[in-house]
Amino acid sequence: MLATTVEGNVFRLSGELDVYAVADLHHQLKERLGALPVAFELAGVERIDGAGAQLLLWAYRQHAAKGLPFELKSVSDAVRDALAFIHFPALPG
Amino acid sequence: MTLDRATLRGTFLDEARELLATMERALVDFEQTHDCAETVRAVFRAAHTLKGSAGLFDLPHLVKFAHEVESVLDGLRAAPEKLTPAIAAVLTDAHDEMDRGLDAIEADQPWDASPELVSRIRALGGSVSEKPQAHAHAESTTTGPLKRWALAIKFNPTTFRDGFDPLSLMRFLERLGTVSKLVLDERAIPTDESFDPLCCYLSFSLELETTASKQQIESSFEFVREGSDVKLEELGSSALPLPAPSAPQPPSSGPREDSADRLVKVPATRLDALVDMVSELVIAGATADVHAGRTQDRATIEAFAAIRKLVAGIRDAALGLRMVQIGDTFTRFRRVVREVSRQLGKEVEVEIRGGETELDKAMVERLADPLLHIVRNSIDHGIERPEVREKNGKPRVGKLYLEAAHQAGQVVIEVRDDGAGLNREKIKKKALERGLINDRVELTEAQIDELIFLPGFSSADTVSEVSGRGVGMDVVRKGIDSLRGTVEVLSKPGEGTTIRMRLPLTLAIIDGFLLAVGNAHFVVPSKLVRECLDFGTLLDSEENHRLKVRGEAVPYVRLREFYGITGAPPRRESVVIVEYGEEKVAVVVDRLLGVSQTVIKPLGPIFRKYEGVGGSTILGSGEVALIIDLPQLVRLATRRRARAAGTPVSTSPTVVAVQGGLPS
Repeated sequence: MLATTVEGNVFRLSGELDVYAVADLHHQLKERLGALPVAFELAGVERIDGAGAQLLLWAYRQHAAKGLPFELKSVSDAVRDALAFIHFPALPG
Repeated sequence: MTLDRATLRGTFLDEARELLATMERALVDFEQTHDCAETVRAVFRAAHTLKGSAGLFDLPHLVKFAHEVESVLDGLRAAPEKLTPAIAAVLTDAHDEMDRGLDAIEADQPWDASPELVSRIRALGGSVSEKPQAHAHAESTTTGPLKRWALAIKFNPTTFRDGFDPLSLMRFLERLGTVSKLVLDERAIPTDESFDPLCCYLSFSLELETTASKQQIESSFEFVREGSDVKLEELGSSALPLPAPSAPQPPSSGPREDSADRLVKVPATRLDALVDMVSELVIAGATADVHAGRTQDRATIEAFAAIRKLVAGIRDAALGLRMVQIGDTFTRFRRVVREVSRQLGKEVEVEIRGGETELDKAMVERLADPLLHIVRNSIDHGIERPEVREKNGKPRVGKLYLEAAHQAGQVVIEVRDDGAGLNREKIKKKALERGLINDRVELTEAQIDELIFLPGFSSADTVSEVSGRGVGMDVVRKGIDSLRGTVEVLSKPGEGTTIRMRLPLTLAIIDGFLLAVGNAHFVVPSKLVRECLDFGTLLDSEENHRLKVRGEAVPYVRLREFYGITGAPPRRESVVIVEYGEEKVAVVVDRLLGVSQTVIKPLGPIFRKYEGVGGSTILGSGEVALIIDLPQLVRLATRRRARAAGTPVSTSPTVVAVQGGLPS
């Protein structure tokens, strides 16, 4: 289960960012992503799997392709762990 | 294509139950084999696949629970020796919980896993798994030399949809050793409209320093091998550049680790349809053969003979498809025995022999209940309490043998215990009380034993909670009867009891030996025919209603009398000696017509009244022949005689001299 709240262009996610959540999230992101960047708050994400990581990567590449900055405002331990493993660019320090 | 929910659910449930059965089997086998590595692999595989499946079918509670189980197993995969019987017991409880979950899903009821069990499982997780630390050496069970490997993997695009998580697979490698130089090739992820979040574009390359063997490393990717491109190379002292992941090739050509598990799922109805068609083919072939014979043309006759041979091959192969090993059923009983013994305060060990014996699938399914009754009875009434056994100089732990074997065209299944044997005094008393026998007749020991099969007879004083509503052996016999088999009991007081079942190999097609009485045709399986004789030569040696065949007394059945066939018999009748199991019977008929391939068809209503017949068949000539069910025939004949004489039924087949016409 993934809960998504959007404030402006900030996506606050909590729950599980996994294969069951990505289709819906992708849909929401596609609509948002125009000229404005999307920022993510992932402190509440308890679990992330390969599909979730892939979606974040996609979002990152989308921003890069449009020349927009990509920001992870906050990450949970689980997210940090997973993204560090795959050397995700733009991991907050 | 739209599939309705019920069909999808049915598909999921079938698959899920199979997975749970595999899981249970592995855990039960672990008790005997103590093979940690194999058990962990099998249980992990089942739980992992189940989780993926449940996810695809949108069953979040099941997914969550399966995930808990999977986590424990994931921890065990790197250190399988940590699997203890205590952990296996918790996993068994988890299996049962998931089973209940499936029941709820089937009944469309809400379900969530018991929180108590979940916390027990999580507690295991703590003791079993280790938090993966990047760049730390993980504990390894191997004692091989430390090697460097280059691994490149491009995952199958359907990996997510198949229920697998590439990330956790990759992280698993950290438990095997040190992972370094990991690169995720993000260029594979499209930035245009074509991006599908459920399609897996992930591809990794990395270096792994580990003492694990190549096989161990590869086994981590066991599930996703097909369709993924995996390159694993040992890095020599000459530091070779990392192989870049290339475009995926057609499904990995590497041999799957368990080729024995390569199975194809076929709907049972399709299989039955195939067997039906093969049956028709056999009949058509036999008919064609007859016509070919009439042409008297050698080439034609030989051509059809060649076809018949091929048909026989197809026939055997098709029937073989329905055969399953009885070992699966036996193994399930280990658990039953364990639980029943525990409930009754007995100590019982199960030994299985002949598990590879094959039976028709339908038959195996219908054996489960009778076997269950027998096993329960054995533990309840047969095997004594440990103190009693010790006092009698027996080992504390009782033995229960489950054995199966092929014997003379039948399958023989035995349940044997080394308990106290049947209490004959008690049985006789009970039978007298219930008015099942009268006290004027002397019964042999074997006849007393047989009393337990009488309806209304229950050997329990109190209906024990375990044996159920005092379900008796008469129900068991009915069940075995319906399979056209026989069941008998052999008992030695103080030593034990054996329940022996004989079942036909349900051959839908058999090689039959044709017999004729008047205008009626009969078939006996030619496998069982021992020899053919003239009845005339044996008449003089008739004694006590048995025929003396070379010094051996063989009981006989005269089909003409049994079926009340009218008309005059020929001057010289013929006898065919048949053997089924350990019994021999002489079947007396008018004429012997030789061997022919026949297809068993169920009896039409008009033939139902013919007892002792197991089916009908159409001969190549177009005539109908009745297939004799020998054990049934003999038993019925014996019973009739006994009823006529007013004595209790005995198992030893004796004379058949029946008055009157056809049973109506």
